Amino acid sequence: MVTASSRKVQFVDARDLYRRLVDGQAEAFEEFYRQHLEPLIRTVRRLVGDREVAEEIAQDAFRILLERLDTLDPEGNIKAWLFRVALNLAKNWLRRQSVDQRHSPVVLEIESSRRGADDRLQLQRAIDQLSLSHREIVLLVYEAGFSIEEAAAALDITPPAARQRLSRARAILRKLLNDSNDNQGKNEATS
Amino acid sequence: MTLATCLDDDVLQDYLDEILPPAERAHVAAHLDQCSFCQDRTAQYGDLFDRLVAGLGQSDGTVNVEAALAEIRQTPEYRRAFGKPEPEPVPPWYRRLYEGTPAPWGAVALTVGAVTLALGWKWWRGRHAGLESVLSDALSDSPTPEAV
Repeated sequence: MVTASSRKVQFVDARDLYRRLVDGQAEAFEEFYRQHLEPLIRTVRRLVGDREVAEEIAQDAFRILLERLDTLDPEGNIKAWLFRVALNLAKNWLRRQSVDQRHSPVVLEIESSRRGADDRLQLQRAIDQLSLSHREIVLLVYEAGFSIEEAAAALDITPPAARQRLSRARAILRKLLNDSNDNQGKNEATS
Repeated sequence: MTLATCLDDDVLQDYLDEILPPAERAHVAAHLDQCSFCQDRTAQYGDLFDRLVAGLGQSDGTVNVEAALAEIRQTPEYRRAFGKPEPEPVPPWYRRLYEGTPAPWGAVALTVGAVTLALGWKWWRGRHAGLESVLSDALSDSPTPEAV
């Protein structure tokens, strides 16, 4: 689990990495890329429900980062900036696809996996029922491991607003999961 | 025991997420030591937290980062950002004939070809000098259109 102190260490390291990155060091970019590609793809995939699309969006986000490198602030949070770009690209993609019944590919992947995945399937279904803004913050915090401050920067909102949004999303999730458990219990009782 | 001022849901969840400031965290911990109601709620919320962490945030190991990185290194954005030279444009076919050979060899081959042709022409003229004179005579003695 990421603790507050380990986050602080990561932040200090990240600051140095951002400086080298904005300074135009290819090695810094590649280190940054290696650190964030996978969480970025996972987060976007849970939003768009398609792995290939998520990979394309992640790659596009990195290309935009490269284009804007000289305009970025090394004292800012470039990771949050990158995720914001990727989330915007994902939302544009969703808009173009007019997909509101999201994630069916992800659900299928989970359904086809081994036993014991019921919990994850239930969780995924509950997340799918969240609104886009709630899903974004849940995924940023729990999928990509963002702190509240980083998630706020990625979503372009204040940290208190991010905290409130996350709380609301968790409350809805708790309710959805409880309802789901109750239904499961009833089904088992009737069968 | 239940305390009159029980903890807010969000505070409990933030406590589990370890995102509370140290002072507030200590206050929550102190409350939890005494309040069984909040202990039960913490266990319940902790279950959600565990499910979120277990269900999300796990690498599935299917992303080939190095392959993706190799792909992005080829993009114009990467080259421009880090001052890498643009790839050479594809040369026309006649240049590609000499591609990979040391530069003078193309010129040497052309020169040798030209010299061989010239020498061959000179040799052929020498050998067929008689024929050439007959031909030139024939051409010079040929009747003009008016004579015909």
